[in-house]
Amino acid sequence: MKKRIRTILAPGIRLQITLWYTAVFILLLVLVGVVSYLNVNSTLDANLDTSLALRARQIALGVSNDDGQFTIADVSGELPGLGTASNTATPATSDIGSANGQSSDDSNDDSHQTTPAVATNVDAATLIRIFNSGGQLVYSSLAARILPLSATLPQQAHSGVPWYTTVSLAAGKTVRLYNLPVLRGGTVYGVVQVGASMASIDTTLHSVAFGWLLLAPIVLLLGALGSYWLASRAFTPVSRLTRIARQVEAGDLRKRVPVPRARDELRELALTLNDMIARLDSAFARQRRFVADASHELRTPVSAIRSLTDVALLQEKTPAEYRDILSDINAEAERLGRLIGDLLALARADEGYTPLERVPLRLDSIAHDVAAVSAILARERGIELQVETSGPVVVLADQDRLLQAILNLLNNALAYTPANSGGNITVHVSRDETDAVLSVSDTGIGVAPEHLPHIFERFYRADPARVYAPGSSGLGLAIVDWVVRAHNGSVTVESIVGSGSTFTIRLPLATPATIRSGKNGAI
Amino acid sequence: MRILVAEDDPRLGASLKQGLEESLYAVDLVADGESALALAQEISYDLIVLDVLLPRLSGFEVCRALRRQQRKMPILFLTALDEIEQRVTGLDLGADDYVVKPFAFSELQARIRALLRRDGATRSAELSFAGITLDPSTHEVRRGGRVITLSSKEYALLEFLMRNPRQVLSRQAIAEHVWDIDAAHLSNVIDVYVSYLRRKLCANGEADVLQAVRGYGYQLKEPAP
Repeated sequence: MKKRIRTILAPGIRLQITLWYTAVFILLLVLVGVVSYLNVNSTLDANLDTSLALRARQIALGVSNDDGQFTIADVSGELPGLGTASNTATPATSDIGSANGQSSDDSNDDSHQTTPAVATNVDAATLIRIFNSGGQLVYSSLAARILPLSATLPQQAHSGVPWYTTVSLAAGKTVRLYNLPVLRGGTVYGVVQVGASMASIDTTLHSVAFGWLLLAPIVLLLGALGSYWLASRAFTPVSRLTRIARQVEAGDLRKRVPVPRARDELRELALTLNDMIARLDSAFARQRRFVADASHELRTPVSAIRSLTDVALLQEKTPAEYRDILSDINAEAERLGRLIGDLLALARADEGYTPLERVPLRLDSIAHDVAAVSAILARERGIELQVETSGPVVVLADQDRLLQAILNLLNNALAYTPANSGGNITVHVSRDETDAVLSVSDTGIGVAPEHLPHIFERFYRADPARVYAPGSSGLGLAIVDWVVRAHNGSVTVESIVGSGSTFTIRLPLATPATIRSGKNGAI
Repeated sequence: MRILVAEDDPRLGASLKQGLEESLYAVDLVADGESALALAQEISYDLIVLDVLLPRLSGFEVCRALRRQQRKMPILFLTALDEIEQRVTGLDLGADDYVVKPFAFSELQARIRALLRRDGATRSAELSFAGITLDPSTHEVRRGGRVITLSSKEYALLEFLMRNPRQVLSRQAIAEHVWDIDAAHLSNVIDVYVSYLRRKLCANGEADVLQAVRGYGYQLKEPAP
């Protein structure tokens, strides 16, 4: 149940990609929308400002002041109410009066009777006012009369630089005003103010925004569907890889997934998969080889035991003959047991389950102990065995494993040194700055260079067939290698064919620190 | 019948030799491939039991070399190598049988008997000649319903003669096929064993079938009517 919930909560990769794409789409849409909205807004504002300035300049051409006499000529044909007034000159005073006073409404009523609604609507009508330098209204178009008067107008006009103002009216209407000071001989004598409602800009902007809001969900939906489709398409090769990878079973690791030619992530994935399969293949092959070798090695003592018992039962024998056969069977059984022990040790090592009980050990003493055991066999085979040590050498090691490793090295040396021919085996223990060094040198048959790299492999025998190595399991050196590596050491071999081999074990010297941590069982 | 056993495991080799000798064969044991090849080239064995993993020269190599030299004796591989390819390799090299270790000794005996009768005059398990029958599996010898008790050497001698009836066999050949390498120089005792055998076969006054060829050897021959 819990798992199912998690499965539902964890969306598949296609859905994830779709969601990510959609999020990016939203971000882009918002970004583009805002930018284009602002862009449209500023373009419209700039256009409005430009047209206001143009119109103001055109009107200013018709405004003149000769000796304090304000004259307005409608050169642009844009000054409503002037048509009925004097075309050439209007006394400033009278015009001011008519423009400012309520009565002027009446005087202009006749001429604008046809479009009174348009005239008073700031959105549609022309907004023009003309002031004198004192800020007094000289002329006002009909619709402009509802605009408030600015007290700061004369001060602002004084610099002679045109400026914009934005006025908010009741009913939420906004009007943009362009104020153009009119100069004569470097002196401001009046201001032409041209205005326009910003309602049309707002309308345009609203429609842009509305269109955007309408379009965005559709774009989003299409984008999401498109990205889902793309994600599905993009993962088709992955599905194919998966299908083929699933066909590769443990039993048949010769198969490989096809590698796409394009140098992309899928090729990487295919190569990685193939690499992994190849490694599995070789691991399985090694395992199969090991099992085959092990069964072969186990067969020999078993067949000896069977043959011995079969022959014993073939016909009646003397008690002495039976005793001989029984002791042979006993020896073979012992060999079988040793082989099984070795196999088990290596199998455990492979599993990684190898508890090592590390204690401080005198490597030099251990060398003497092991040599004392091997000396019996060495004497039997007429081989001289000596141990050379120089003072205590302490390592931190599992005593049983270390004994086993050194014993295996000595057995190996004994097996490959011909009997009764003046053979010699030397165990040498020394130390350098960091390592304890134990070497086993023999004067035996040696190992050919081509066999040296494989000599620590399981069941590897330098001779394609066997030399006389009683009780040898073919695992001795593999166990030495494992034990030494488990103790962070190394084992190397040097050999000259015909004159002997030297195996050298290097183990880290025990230091007070490692002894403490070893005793605490931290390793 | 003389058998060469090449087996490097000392206890298994000794056991094979003992078991086969108790089965009344003359057995030579070697522990490496080179000795096996050398002996097989010198002595015409009736059969070779060959391990594959032998020191110095593998059993496969020994088999290949012998077949190349047109040596036709049956070869039986006795080995722990049990994979199909290895069996195929062994048989393709010219071996006649392939037995995988561990094995039952009785089966090995049976296979050896089968190989020994393969090239013989008769395919039946029992050898018979002029009213004399010899069963290689029970070592029972009869003449006209009468069981004849033979010593192992007498038996081996009779078996060799009965496997090669009517052929004139030299003392040398008889020595090679009846005695092992430790007794090879004793070939002049053949005449003594032939006389023992003749006495036992003709104990009830039957006709003599062991014809001496003066200065050469012996021949198993139907009695003159």
